Amino acid sequence: MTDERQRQLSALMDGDLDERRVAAACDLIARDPDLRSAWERYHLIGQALRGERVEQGVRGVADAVRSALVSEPVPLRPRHGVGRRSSRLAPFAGAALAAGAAFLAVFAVPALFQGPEPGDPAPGGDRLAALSAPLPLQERRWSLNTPDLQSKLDLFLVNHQEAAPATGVKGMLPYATLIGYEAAR
Amino acid sequence: MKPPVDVKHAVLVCLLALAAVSSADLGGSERAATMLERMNSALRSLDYEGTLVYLFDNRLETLHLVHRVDGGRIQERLLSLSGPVRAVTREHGRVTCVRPDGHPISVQSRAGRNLQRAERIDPAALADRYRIAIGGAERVAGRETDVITIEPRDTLRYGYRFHLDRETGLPLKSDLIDDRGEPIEQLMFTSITTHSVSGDSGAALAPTPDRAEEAESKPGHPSRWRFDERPAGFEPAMHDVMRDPNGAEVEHFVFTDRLSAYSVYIEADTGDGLEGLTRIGAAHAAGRRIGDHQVTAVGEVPAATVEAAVAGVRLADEDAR
Repeated sequence: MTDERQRQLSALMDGDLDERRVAAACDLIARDPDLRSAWERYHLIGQALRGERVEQGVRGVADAVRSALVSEPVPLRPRHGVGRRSSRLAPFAGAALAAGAAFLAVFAVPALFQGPEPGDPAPGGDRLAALSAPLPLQERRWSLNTPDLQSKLDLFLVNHQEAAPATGVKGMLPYATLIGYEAAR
Repeated sequence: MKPPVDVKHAVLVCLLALAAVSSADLGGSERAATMLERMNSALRSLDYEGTLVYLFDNRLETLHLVHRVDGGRIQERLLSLSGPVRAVTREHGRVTCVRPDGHPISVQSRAGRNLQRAERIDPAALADRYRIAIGGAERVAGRETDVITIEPRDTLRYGYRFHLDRETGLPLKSDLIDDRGEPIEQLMFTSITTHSVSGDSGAALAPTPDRAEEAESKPGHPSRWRFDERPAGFEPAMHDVMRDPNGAEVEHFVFTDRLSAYSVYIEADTGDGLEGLTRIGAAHAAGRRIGDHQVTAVGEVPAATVEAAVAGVRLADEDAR
């Protein structure tokens, strides 16, 4: 991913991108898996910094939405039987599809990130509801079954790493334990 | 009777050999200090980004790291690329950790203070507890590295083996090792791109008077708690009071041997604290109740160390009785 694309992505997220360039940026995101991944990461980090709840299901949801749309028979796919589609139009149809997917990836995914409000119908029906559902927890952090105590020990460990001398010298190794370790997978 | 000439020569040769060994040790120590200082400088002055693998207990996780020095502040983002979403960010003066259950936790970053004073590894100061050795050259992430090992002399602490990029000084591979030199967990770049920090951003990390003053402050807040019986080599380094997410006060004490460290947290007992020993990766935690209080020790140290830490906690007025 080039710096220019990264800047565009960042500007798009911040709402600072010139509106004439928004469509092109959406197309770029639709085509570039690195950009889509970065889009998800930026949202995730933004949510974390704002102290919001982050659903596990956000992972890969842009691609999941895109795949779902590509395999969707109606109404997004060109209708068959109406007449043979001109091969000259194929690239445009593809681009439209990509733009549609990009639009959803850009504008629908943030909504999925937030998770549905209690009582709200799932946006886009069962299929999207399934995509945005949190993944089941597969691990027992700290070998404990009590989430509150797990959370407290995580807090103690992060706070400790920040307070302990020489943590910075060890690079991110102390923090790799926190996010790299996953028991009982 | 005078010793034969050959014996005199032998003694002289032995003395010269001892002097040579001692001089080599000194040279090795200086070189180790230079290498570690260069690593420290690289961590503070370079922008870099890359993919890492984290290995523990034969489990492998892929992570992505972005490290930026912006306006004299280090900003870091570490994100898991495999399994459930997990991330750590150090930005805007806070460290935030996104846990697998989706609930982020966030603490005030103390990196500004740490970077000024305590963030250096001084080989001479570690000599009692660690053996430091330079040796070997290996290729990591397609780059040549020099290896430096800080090996613990006992089982109460872990050490480190760093593979330092010959070009930049960055640690491209960091192993946490035990007293036999065996790796416990490993973090290694598989690809990395580096950039020099433009302008004087790196220089801006020099301590401001306020920060330096903060860094020099000594532990010594009044406390009812005593820690006379501690794991060997660990000294008190900090004491403050924090608040848990429910607003309850938690006393926090940090103990260090100048490389390894553990924290002791003491709070009112609510009946749901840790009893006994547990761990996550190489980090251990041990807890017990003392009267109406819950005592928990946490750190990237062996199990025996946190167990000894909680076992040695006493109430000061308990001793007076």
